[in-house]
Amino acid sequence: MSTPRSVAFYTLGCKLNYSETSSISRLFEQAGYREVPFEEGAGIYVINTCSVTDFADRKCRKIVRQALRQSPEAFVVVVGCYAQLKPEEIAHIPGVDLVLGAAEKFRILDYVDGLSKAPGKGLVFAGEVKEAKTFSDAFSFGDRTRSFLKVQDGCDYKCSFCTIPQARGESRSDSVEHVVANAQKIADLGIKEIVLTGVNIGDFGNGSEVIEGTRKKKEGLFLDLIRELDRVSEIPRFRISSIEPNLCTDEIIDFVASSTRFVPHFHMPLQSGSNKILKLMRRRYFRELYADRVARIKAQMPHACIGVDVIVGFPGETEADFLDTYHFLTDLDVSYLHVFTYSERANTPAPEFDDPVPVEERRRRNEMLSILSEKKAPVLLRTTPGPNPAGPF
Amino acid sequence: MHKEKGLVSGFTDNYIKIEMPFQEGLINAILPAALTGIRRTGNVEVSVAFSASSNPLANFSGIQTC
Repeated sequence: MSTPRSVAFYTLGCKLNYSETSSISRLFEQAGYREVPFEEGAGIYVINTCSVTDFADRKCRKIVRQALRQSPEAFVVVVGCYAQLKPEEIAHIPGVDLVLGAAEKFRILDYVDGLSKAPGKGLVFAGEVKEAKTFSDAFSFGDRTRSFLKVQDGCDYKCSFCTIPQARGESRSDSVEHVVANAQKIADLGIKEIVLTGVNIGDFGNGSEVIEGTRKKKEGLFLDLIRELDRVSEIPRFRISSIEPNLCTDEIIDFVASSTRFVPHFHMPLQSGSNKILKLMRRRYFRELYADRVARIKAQMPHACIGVDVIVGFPGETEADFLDTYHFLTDLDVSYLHVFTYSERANTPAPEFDDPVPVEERRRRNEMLSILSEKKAPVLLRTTPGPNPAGPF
Repeated sequence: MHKEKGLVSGFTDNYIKIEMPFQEGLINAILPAALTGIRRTGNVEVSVAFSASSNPLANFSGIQTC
């Protein structure tokens, strides 16, 4: 049985979304709402969506149905990346009352307070993504023993397959001082591990100030951030969630190798092991740079875990291109692969490219790399010295 | 944590997912662990040198899962 001042959350997607859901939940808590488990029945359901997978729409509909099954009179609010990309589409999902875009989601209480249940489509407050210029900090707490700390948002890269810049806007960051203050707050809550999250965290340092009308003023770079965080002695473990290979500098690698708090774990998107496909994807590196980064990490930290994102079936990827990727990854000293099957995303250049790969073939390639990933995992076990610090459980 | 299954799980520094039998005081602890085998789940079994008194956050509330 729900009460009007109760709220439940559902998060789809990445660590960044989890950190933001957690911060939104604290806004409700401060306003006197009681958070309840999703299955318990709440007065308000907040669904934080993702746009990376092509199942976003289907998943969103499913969660809305589940929420209304628990509590038929509940208000349903949809926020997040998919809400920014397709607000009208979501507003027409039966049962959705409110859709908030990237610039509006942290002001959710302003909108919820005036909400009334009415027939017809939901209300939409989703401005142009270019309006999302300010940085809203966030960190997760309470649902896991690790905390995901948001340090950066948005992306200035123009990868030809990606919708994230349209969903989250330009790259912008917190300040070093404020991230350190948040880390201290997290430490005070008893958390022992912080995972630094963002869309493109290696690009940390972008403020909202623009120089000469074009360039963003950069100060306090990612290296400066991790150096300062390393001084937060109450947090024994920091983990970098994911970093672009072209931004994973020698200095960052060397610093992690020398730190007792930053753990030897790197997750770097590769996307393809074919330089032809990397160019089509508009990535900012070639495979040689990626191999160089891996070699540098392993030379400094032989037991480091290196995770890789790969996309298979990108338009124009021939069997030979795919095998280039397969063999490149086979030879590369990495620990696991996150394999994504390419899917066409609206308003990106890639679907217009020549030679799309049949869906069945995309799946076959995904299977091949997934099997390769399984074969990679035991190697790390053999190279890991013991005893090894483990937890937090 | 999978208290209901009698297991706790976590990660090593280098992101190996590990599991071991549940003990109340393990929650939110980071301890030296020796890797001892691989479970059917694919997770790695560990043994840790642990005593309840060595973990001041053993009863920390608000943490339910890893």
